[in-house]
Amino acid sequence: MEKFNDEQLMQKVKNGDLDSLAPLFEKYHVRLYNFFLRLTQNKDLSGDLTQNVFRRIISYRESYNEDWKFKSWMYQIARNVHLKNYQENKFLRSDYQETEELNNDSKSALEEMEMETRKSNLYEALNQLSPEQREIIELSRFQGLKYQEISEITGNSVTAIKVKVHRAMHKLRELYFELV
Amino acid sequence: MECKNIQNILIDFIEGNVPDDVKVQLEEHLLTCTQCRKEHKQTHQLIEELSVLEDKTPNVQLKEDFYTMLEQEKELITKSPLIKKPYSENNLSIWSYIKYAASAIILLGFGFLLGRNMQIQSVKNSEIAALRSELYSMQQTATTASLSIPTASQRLKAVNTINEQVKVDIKTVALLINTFKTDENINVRMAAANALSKYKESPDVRDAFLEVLEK
Repeated sequence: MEKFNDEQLMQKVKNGDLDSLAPLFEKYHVRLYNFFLRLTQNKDLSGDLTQNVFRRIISYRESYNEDWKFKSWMYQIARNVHLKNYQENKFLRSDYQETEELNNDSKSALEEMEMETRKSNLYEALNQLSPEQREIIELSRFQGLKYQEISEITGNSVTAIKVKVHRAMHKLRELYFELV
Repeated sequence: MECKNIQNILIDFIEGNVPDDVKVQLEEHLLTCTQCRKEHKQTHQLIEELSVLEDKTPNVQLKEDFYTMLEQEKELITKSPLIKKPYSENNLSIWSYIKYAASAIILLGFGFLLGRNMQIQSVKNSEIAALRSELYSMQQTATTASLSIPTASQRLKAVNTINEQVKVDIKTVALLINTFKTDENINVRMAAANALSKYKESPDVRDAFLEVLEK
């Protein structure tokens, strides 16, 4: 079977071949789900928002330009979906408990507890950041995007993104080590 | 190298993304400056800690929902006769002129038919109005029905949909009140309260608020 890259697949979707969206979904849905999960800390909602991104990709497929990197375009949509949700559901609380998910691997109970403490400290520190800073850390650290890619997604210059990433990490470091 | 400059490249330094000369300068600085050494150590640790929050696997529902949606969208496309073909500039051959001419003729034809149908239009208008009100009541039933579904996020969505509607009937308000009072999920109750705040003039809504506040 012929292999297509993301942009070629999206171009096919644009031309009406919706099945070409399936490989893009398979490739990105876990990442998007976790993007929303870490920003909203709500599992049900993150599933819905991920679905919304792909629904929007279908609705807006005509506006896709094959010169754009699909990934950047997709994250732009994801940001908008998240922003819209944030404005509508500001009061929404987390349904997410890291501790719910007990790992049944060989770690000792003590290690397990220590790990949970670290996770909850990290979440507490992340939650104290501004939404903008949390998003920039999500994109740069968790989604592993390059400064250039974040610049394409957000419309800020690469230099501005670098400064933002460093400031956000600086702030996160301060908050985190206050808790430890 | 000054401490101020160091902060802006610490992450790139830790991940090996700085040029060699900068790397050497930075290493020299770290040997002499305790504050920067501490920041370097903490940043290094933070980057490692962040990897603890690894990706979670979404439940299978997400995948199923996606493929259901894809099938629905595909059906919509095949049903709609107006599939837009990608526009290409090289295609402006004699055929496209013929196409334009043909569409002009068709448009003329439509105009003619439209003129003739003007008389029947008023009958049609009332039919459309009837259909529209039917659709409206269907929408209301659909959203109110979804208030009793099991997942909180779907109920929340239903409440938000009602909130966006301009015209809401008494039955829906009653349902909202019920959701506001009894839904097990705090977020759904909050959304219902938010939606109800538009109808604070209604005595029923006021009573509901008072009742919940007294609890």
